[in-house]
Amino acid sequence: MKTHRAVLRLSAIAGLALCGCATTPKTATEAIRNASNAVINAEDARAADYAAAEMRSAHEKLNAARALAAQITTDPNDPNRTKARWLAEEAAADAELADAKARKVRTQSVVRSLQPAPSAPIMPPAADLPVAPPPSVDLPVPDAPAPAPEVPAPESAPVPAAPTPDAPAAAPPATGV
Amino acid sequence: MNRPIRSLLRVGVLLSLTTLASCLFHGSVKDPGADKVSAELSQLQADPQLASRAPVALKEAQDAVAAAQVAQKDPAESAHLVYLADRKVQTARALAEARVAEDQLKALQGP
Repeated sequence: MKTHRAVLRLSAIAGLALCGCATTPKTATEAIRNASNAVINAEDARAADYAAAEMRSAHEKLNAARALAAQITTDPNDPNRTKARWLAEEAAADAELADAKARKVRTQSVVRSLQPAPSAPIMPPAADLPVAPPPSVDLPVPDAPAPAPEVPAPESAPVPAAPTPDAPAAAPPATGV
Repeated sequence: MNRPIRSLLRVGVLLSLTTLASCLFHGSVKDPGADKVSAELSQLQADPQLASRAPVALKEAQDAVAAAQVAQKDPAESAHLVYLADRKVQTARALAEARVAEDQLKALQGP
């Protein structure tokens, strides 16, 4: 008795699930509205700066969908109806992807800018100063452990003999200024 | 055995079989890209760092992949469903990676 009821319920669920493959409820107009909103959201997030190809595709497909929608006749079986809806759905998916990519890349670049430089794994610069704010100050420091250095001109004369080999990358910009 | 229950059972089984048959026998095809996008979804779901980061986008991707797996009469519709599924999977991955980066940012900015 119990098992029969379970089988009955399962077969009903299976039947309903399979019926799902025949339904396509959304209209072209609704799809175009969704896509248009998705493109506007992505543009607001400046997604084109980070995902140019996806944004271009979104714009092209949305325009094509609008053009097709303008040609739709009163015939309910007009193929343009379906084509316009598909194009709009793809445009929305492109814009949402562009938006997500932009969010990812933007956050990752902020994280990278806040992380300590990977080229200086040795402790000294981190020990004397807070790491992030003055990155160029660590040049004159290594050979002057005492608080008062003898040479009082840190930015004009960073004598090339003094720097230790641990900061070769930072030297050129400091001398240039 | 209760007679009405048995007849209901028969109707249920018959209904599901006919629906299955109608889907299988009207010459429908599955896009070759459907399996690829399904594999990409599985990869994302199996990633312990990303799988739980963007649940809504991941659910949308699952639904889109399931739709793309269903064979369609029109090959253009199959291709369209695969395109949507691919975009949804990529979006779910990008959003999950964005959330990971946002957590890293919070950790860097401190309490």
